[in-house]
Amino acid sequence: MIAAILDAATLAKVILYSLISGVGVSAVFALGVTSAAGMVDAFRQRRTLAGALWAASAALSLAASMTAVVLGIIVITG
Amino acid sequence: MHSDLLLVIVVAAALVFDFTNGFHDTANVVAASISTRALSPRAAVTIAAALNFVGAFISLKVAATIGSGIFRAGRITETVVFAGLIGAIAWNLATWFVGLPSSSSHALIGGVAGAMLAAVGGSGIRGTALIRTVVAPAVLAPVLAFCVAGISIVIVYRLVGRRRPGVVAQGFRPGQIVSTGMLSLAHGTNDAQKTMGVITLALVAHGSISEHHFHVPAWVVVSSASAIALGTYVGGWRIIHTVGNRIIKMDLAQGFVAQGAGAAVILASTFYGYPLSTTQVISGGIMGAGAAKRFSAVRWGVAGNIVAAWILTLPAAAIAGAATYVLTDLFGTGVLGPLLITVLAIGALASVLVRRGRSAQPVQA
Repeated sequence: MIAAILDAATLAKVILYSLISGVGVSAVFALGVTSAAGMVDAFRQRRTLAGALWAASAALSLAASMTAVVLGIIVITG
Repeated sequence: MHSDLLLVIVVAAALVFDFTNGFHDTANVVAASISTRALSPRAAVTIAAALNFVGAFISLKVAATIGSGIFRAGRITETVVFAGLIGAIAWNLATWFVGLPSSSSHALIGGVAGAMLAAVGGSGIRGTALIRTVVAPAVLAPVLAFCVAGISIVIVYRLVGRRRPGVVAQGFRPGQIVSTGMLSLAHGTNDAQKTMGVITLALVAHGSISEHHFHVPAWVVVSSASAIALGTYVGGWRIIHTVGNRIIKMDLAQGFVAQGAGAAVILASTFYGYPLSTTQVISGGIMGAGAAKRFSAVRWGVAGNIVAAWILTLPAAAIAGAATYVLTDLFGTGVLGPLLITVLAIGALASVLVRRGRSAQPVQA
């Protein structure tokens, strides 16, 4: 009864999507930041391969977080 | 003719409400990015105003909830909408004066609901829809933003904890600029739509739109977007000059996470047509990001005020809306009552602003 009045299913979707988008984008972006920091440290220590791997990880994370933001806007406008 | 003039008064009152909504909420949208110096005040306010404008165009689901979901459009009159708006503005002004962090959105819905009750009784309101789309999300959303921000900041600190702080801060700066933009966009889409919904209700009452073919005209979208953007811009300059140093201190990662959590919750709720209190959601995000780092860093007194505002705003604005309707009704169903109330409201507004100016107290955001 209460669940029906409150529309628990829709509220649960709001909770789920907020958690996925909020926590997910923050975590992926933070991964990008830590990768970028790792890249800077690796290149300073002349560890070229490690630096390149960190750079790739940073670029992927940044691209993933930007894609998530753009997809979010497309879903909302749809 | 009278009906047309009444419609003009109602639309003007709605746009004034929209302007004050933007004016009121700028601090919440830009505070974190200014506090962490991710953006200069000028850039933060400009971005917030521009993206509030853009945000108003990306969805109409909240407008539909206000315009056709909560109230029975067939039973509403322009006077009811007018009384609801005046009740909401009155409550907003009163809470602004005493510094209670009230929700403009809840005031608007409460005001129209109270006027509707006074005009036609409970049959004008879909009670279940009111609980489902307003009351339940009002309780859930700030808590959700608190949890999203809290979980996010724990993960973020674990990921970047061993890195050099300077490099990490540089990394989060662009992230926070993007999250400021997303929060502004989210704010614009949820809050401007409430005004669109109310103006469209007035158009239904006027007979310009059929209640069976509810749609928001383009001019309503453009004018609501412009009013909230202008309010955001003007309100931003007030904030910079009066409360710039009172905003919460946080690091770039916390600012990024708090704003991201607020944007995520507002946009997810907007998708399902829930009209939220964006003020309370953003406050929840900021408190979550602060509490996860250090529990005692959060101003829990502010949280208490938010809870008080939750409980008070809907019924108080409803009483104000009902009282305004009764007062307006004394002058008949024509334009005279709303016209007199408008003159009185302008006088009261000027008086409040002059008193505020004389007391030289920073305005609560």
